Amino acid sequence: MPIYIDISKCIGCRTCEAACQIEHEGNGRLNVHYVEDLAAVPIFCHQCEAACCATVCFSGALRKDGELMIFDEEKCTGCGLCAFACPFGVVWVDRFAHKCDLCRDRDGGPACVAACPAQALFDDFEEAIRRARSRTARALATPGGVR
Amino acid sequence: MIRVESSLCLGCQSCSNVCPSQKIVRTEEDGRISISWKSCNEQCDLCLKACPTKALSLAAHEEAAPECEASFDMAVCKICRSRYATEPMLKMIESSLPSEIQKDMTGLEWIRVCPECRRNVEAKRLVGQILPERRRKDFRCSFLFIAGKRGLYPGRVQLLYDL
Repeated sequence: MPIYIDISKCIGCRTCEAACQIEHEGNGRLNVHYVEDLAAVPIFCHQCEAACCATVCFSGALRKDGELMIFDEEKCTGCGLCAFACPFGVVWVDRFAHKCDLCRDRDGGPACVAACPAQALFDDFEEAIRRARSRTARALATPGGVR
Repeated sequence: MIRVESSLCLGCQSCSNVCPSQKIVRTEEDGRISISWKSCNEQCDLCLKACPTKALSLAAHEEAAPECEASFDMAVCKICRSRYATEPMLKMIESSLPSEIQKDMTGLEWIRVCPECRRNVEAKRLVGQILPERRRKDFRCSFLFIAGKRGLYPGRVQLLYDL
């Protein structure tokens, strides 16, 4: 279950980045990128099925257990292989690997989702379906196009 | 005393990260990484266990033995030309990826791109759907702005601009 992004709603305020850093003691696990000063989008871990970061991890610190990604800080040596193996570039390494774990220890879901002022982020699949339905309905109603 | 097989060493940060007595020093300068294993008389084998390629081995302590050293050129990102990882590390990643990814049509060139540029590429892909409309709106907005400034656009816009 990844975090879903509604790109057209993102205002590029980087609140999610700050919330992530506060939650994880200064080591953020996401990054907001700007394209041509017109659009912003936070880049998240996709929680891949066949995760490259888990395959290259030799010590077994990062491993896939069912649907969840397990990160074991005790075993991590901080070699940095996972950071360079991630196709999206969303693993950071200094002494330990830092990778999005959907704030497993936090009550009430991921911190970035709770902090987003524009409701551009959500982790609920039902919400994703609801938004897709309303987008389609709006596209039907306006002859000009979507959004 | 630690002995190093320098052909196996990846130049990663494992051993210097786990060493409790800071005897392994890793320095980065001018796109070159050098690691030096200082002579060590501790009864510990943390670095041996942490090494991904088992390049380290223990040997009897000798006072006269020289310090082990290894240095690596860092690989250059193909997009932004910054130096981000050592060549053996990238080779190691290439060989340990699952076979369906290795045989993929796009090849393994994406490993030669630094994480920052990978995120940028992903951002461009995600934003691609809304970018044309944003550009159009931006153009219209700047047109109205300039028109208002030159006084070419009488009435409400002029008024709004004065506010």
